[in-house]
Amino acid sequence: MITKLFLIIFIFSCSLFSSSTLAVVSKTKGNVKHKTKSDKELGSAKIGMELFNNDFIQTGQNGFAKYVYLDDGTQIKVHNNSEVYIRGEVERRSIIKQLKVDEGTVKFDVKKQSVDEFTVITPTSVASVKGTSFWIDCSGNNGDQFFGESGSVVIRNRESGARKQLTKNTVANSLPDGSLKLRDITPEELEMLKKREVDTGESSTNTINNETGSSSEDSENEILIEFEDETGEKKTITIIVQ
Amino acid sequence: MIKKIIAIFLYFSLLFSQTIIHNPIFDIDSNKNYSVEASIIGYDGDYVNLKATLFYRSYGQSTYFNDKMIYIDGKFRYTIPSSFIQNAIEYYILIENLNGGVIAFPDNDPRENPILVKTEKFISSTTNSIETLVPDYEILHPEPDTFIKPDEFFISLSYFKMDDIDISKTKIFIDNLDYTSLANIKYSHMILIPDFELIPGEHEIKVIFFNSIGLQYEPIIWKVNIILNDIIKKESFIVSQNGNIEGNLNNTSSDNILLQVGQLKGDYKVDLDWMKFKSNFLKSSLEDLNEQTKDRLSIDFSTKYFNIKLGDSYPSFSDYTINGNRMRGVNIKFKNKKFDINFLSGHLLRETQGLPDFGAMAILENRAPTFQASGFLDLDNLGIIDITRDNYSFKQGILGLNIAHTNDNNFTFKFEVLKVKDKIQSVNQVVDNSLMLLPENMVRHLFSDIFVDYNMNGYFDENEFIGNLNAPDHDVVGSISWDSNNDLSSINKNNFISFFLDTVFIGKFNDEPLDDQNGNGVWDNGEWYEDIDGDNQWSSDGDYDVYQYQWKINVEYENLQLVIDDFILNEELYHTDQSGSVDMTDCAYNNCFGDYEINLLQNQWEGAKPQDNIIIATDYLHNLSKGSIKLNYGFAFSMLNQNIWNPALTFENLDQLGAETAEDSIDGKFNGADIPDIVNNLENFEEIFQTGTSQVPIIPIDINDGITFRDFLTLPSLSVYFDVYQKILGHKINWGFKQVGPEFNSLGNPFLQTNVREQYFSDRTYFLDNKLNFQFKWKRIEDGISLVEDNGETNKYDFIFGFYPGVNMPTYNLSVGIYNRTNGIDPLYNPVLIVTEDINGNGLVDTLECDIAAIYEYYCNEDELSSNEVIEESEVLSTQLYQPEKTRTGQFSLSINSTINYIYRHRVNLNIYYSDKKDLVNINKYLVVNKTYYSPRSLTQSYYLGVSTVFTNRLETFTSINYNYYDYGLDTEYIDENGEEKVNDFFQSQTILGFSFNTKYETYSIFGKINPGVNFSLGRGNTNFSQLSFKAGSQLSIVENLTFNINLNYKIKFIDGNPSYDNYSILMDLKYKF
Repeated sequence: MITKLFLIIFIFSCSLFSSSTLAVVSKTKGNVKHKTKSDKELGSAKIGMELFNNDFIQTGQNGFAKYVYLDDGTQIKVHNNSEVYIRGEVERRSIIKQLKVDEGTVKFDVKKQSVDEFTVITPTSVASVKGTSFWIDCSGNNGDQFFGESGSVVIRNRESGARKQLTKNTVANSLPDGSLKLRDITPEELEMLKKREVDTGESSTNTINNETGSSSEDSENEILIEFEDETGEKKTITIIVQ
Repeated sequence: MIKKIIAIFLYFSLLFSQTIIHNPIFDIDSNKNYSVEASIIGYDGDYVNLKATLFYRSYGQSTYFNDKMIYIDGKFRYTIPSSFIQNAIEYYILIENLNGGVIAFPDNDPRENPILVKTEKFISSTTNSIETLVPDYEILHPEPDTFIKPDEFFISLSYFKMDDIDISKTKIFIDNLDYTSLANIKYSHMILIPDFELIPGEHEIKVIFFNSIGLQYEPIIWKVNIILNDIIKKESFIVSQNGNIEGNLNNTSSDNILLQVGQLKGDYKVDLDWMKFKSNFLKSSLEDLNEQTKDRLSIDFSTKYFNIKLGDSYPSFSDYTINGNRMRGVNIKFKNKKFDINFLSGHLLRETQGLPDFGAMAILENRAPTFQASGFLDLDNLGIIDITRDNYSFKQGILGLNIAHTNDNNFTFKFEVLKVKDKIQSVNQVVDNSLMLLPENMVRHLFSDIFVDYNMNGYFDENEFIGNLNAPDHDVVGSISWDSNNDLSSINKNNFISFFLDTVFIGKFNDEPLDDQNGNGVWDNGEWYEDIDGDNQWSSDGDYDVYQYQWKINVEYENLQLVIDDFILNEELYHTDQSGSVDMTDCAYNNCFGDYEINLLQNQWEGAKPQDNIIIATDYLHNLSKGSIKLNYGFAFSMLNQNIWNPALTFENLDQLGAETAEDSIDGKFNGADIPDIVNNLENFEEIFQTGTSQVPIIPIDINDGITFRDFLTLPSLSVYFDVYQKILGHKINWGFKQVGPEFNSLGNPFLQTNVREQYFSDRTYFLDNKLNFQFKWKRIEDGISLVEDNGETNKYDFIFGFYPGVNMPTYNLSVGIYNRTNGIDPLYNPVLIVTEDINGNGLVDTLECDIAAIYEYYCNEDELSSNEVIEESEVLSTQLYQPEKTRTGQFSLSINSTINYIYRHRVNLNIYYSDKKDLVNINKYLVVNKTYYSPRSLTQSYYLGVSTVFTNRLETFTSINYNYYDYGLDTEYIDENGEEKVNDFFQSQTILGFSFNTKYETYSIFGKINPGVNFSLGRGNTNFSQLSFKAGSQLSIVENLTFNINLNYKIKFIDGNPSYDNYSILMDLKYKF
């Protein structure tokens, strides 16, 4: 009996030690649910909560969650009506990151990855990211839309295997029929994305880069200063540092 | 070489004959201003002629700010605001006098050993280490400088990549309050979710890590702004704003010197989300357009990458360019991960024109008019007077750029260029209504003849002429008979501003008056004389004063031509011969006016000469082994043209410069080296640097025979440094050298000591779980950079111990220093003879036989023949200017600070300082040769005990007693040339004993918080005095955010028994926060 008890404690301990914290929830708003792999029930997600491999986050109609990876500060913003699984593995003092998006809208601010690419998996597509800022609007089994803000993302349609490179101000439509098309983003779509940021309180402060399409990677070389007058008209000064 | 020795001699004579009395308080409350007060003993001059400057910085900052201390109530004072102090500050005091002498506190290398004043925050947050490891971290939340709602606030920091953290020692502070207990600290990250909501506004987060051996990492500090929900909803343009406005008045009477200073100052800060704006202003009643401004105005814009300061700012590039000096203009900083750029444009000094009534303009005699033999004026050689400017200062323009590039935090390269140039056009050629004294040449025709005041009544009387009756020795104006001064009746005095007649002493005369008929210069029988001394004979051994009535006339510049015209007219009408008719013939030898041309000088004025200065500097920093080794080196090169009015540097000018012969001036060489042809092209670079014959250095380096490393090291206008910082086995080791050449000049940092080389080594280590730290420091300072000459040098050895047993335990700081100094001049104990009649020409003082001397055509006199030898004549070389200096100083200081909870809460502060400088010269032996030698020995003792006691929340008392003793020099006796015993009175001493008792009491009434106190000082020594001071004050809140402070101080002073009651000060300030 004692041997069994020790064995159980040992196995339990091993499982505990092997599950490293991958990220921390830095913001929640509205209805945000969370569960770990071992949990059976969904619970409320709270700020400061640690995220582990295979943790699940679900946002409701008015929900929003933001979490940050420990190794490099990569930020993921899970907008309303979304479901995601966080996956990751610690290797050489970095986290190999993967996010499975079942449904919903997610904004990615991915810092330059040192070990492996950040992988985003939806039912329709797989995106590989080295360091960039982009959006994904996943309609479950009905396909995905990718909106590029900066840098580049390689998108592969799981059905056809087709690959496209998403760049700044482009949109990729990936459908279950295997099609993968690229086009320029429209002003309406830009406005829609901006509105999403504003609605979640993510636009007015530190999101100059987001609003103007500059990634964190680019920020070292490009400085954007935005001015807004009383009428709300905005003008931006861009300084490029060679 | 002699100049150098004199300079050193003067420097140290001033340095060591005075000392600053200052009692620092080493532990203060973080929420209180720190008042620095200093007085000086051993100084007999007027305090107005002293300039005291306080250099201060936040602990850990590399450069110092500096500001002038104000002389109030017998002391130099400056208040460092609590907002600046943060955790701790370091400072030192420099006092300069008009002669350029400088004294400092602390006197031992104050820049490197400043006074450290700590707050309770410093003690609690940093156990003992400041030079820290660099952490590798990721701020997860909140992001720096962002705006979040109160309920979104929590702290999360990842140190995922760090493997040497002792997480049990991790500390987390919010606004300097320790919230570590609320944190969930893990091996890869920490999360702190506060159990309270932060109030809206800016908050500072600080996280401190320690490694496994207890060494502290560099603190991680960032700021975040908490804003209310409704602000976010409104997306308000202004997120937050606040400010202060304060008026203060200081009315002081000290030893009958009345000082009234009023100041109005304020600041305003506004946060516009994407930009922060700050503004400060200070309006002082001392503001005077003819002095450097005392007002301050600054506007500051900050965005994520940019910081733009307009108005007054205190840029800091490096020691070698600009370092905390105030400038007015534009100061722009840009910083991102790779670049750190700082651009300056403005001025360091503003222009002052001088006062019309106090020498803003002056007349210089350039040429006296020439009169022909006929007496008529030579129209081709009229007199010339130059109109010059004086007592002005040029606007000193500054242009600077500092670019730093960082590569992955391991290597930083910095390039600096600073140009400071006086703007000549900023000073006007003419200051309206300037008062000018007419020079003697222009008015001496109005003077009287010269007379000998035989009867000593101060006036001319009959027969008091000079010389003999027949010769016109005394006759400088008019006819040969006595002429008194012109009564100006025929002169248009409306052109004058002022005029007065002065009886001017000309010199001495010995002869009694005589009528020297035969012109042999002495009295002969039959000639008339006046027996002044009553000895019945003509005497020529009297001692009589010679005088002349002279007009002193002041005119305005605008009337100068009118005055000249009037003098000409007057002379033409009234210059008469003995018979009274107009006659100019005597002008050939007599004082006539003639005519003058006015030459308004365009340049080469009497006042300060315009300068041009450029400095180029580089700095390299290697950060190796994750900050365990830091390698820092660089150099700076300066050029200074001390007078840009002087001719530009050309081949011809350079050839003539320093040439001793006509041949030298055309040999194409300067100092023996060929002058490169490129010199003629230097004028093309005038916009960058204006070359000229007054530039320093004239030629930076002689490249004719190549440049060796030694040449580079000894360039007079170069500063070079090399610094290594290592962390090894728990030791922090710092060593290196730095050198500033004698001709290195930076107008941006006038306090930089030049012509000095320093080598240093220090080691700091920790024991007893970091509670005890020990530091050893060695520094060699050479008074020069020569590699071949014997520079004077000082070797300093310091042993410093700090013991911090723990919270609420006493802290101890002990330092022991040994300083050896020599000025490179060995004492000459035996007289050095200089042969004055060198018979055999060998340069030595010899004794020669007369036969031998005859070979050299020297023939012995009778005495020498009798002894058959002649001793060559010689004299003893005066060594007064070659004073040796060999001293050893032992220095000890101990500081104990403790909080004691016995009945009430007490805070005890004990400081002991003892310094004994011994003179290693054998004084008695040396005095044989140099009778006027004074010893630089000195002894300083200072003891301070202060106790503050908190009785209740309402009552607090401060009691202190201090004792200072200082003596300098040595009374030495010697026998002078006449065999008389003399004493060199080069000894002075002063003792000051002080006691003070102050209280603070919260009345909870309209009187607010009152702080009465009393102070008693007793001085004995060179100045005997006693002083009793009474102090009272109140701090009250009139309405919310409006406070009023008043402090009254009254002193009764007895100096050498003479009472003085006229010493008081009133300080008031009214402050409103919004």
